[in-house]
Amino acid sequence: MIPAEHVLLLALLQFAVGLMGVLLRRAAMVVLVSAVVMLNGVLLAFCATTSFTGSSTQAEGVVVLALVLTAALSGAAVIYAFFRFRRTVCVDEYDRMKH
Amino acid sequence: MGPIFFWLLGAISLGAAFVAVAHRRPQRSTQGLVALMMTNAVILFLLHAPLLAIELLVVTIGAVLVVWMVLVRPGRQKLGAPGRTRYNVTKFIAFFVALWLLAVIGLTIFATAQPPAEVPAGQAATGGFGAVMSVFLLGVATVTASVIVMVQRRDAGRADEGQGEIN
Repeated sequence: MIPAEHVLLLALLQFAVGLMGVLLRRAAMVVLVSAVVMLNGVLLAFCATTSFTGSSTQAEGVVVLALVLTAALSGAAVIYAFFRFRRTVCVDEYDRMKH
Repeated sequence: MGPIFFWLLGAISLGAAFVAVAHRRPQRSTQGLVALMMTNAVILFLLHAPLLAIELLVVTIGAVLVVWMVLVRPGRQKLGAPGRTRYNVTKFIAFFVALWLLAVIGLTIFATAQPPAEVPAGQAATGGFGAVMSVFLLGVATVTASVIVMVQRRDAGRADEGQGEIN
């Protein structure tokens, strides 16, 4: 039996690594990948809490996973559209909403 | 034994997360993400969440396909590597849709495999909900693949107008 604290610690570490990538990287695809890493940590923490408390089933986890996939696909589509428009993948150049 | 195996997988997943975040090449970042998701799927199996693990594995396979089509093949074509100069979109879509249909069928079998008398309260609804979510994911994947194909065909048409037939 794996202690719940261990799983939550691993989820926290994954979330921290993903957050570091979101804050520090400039390439849009890597920022998206880092966000997915963060959501993977959230999914792991969610599964840990639901499996150890026994209060819920895996349905909510499936919803979280569907949200991860939807966010990744829509983010990739937005990045591809911006790349076709601005010819760059640097997120610092994505300032069209300011003007 | 359980915690040792868990932390072994955890170390692999953390290393994959670092590769995904810190590597300079986007291909390596995406490969690190795929490794992270696969190790997370094994961890979910350890946590007695097989439905989530199967879904995560299916998502991983889809990510590998998208990376191969969007990043790897265009890069190889630009470098002049041997191979076809056009995407074989029909096979790609057929494989993608077949994969998600297999996921839906597998999840439905997984949901209905247990006899109703032994299913705890709420368990049957979970499997059915997983099948519904798989259908939703199939729709998302199909729409995404269709958009990619339309964009690629339009780009190929523009390239043909500017440079003539590639083949």
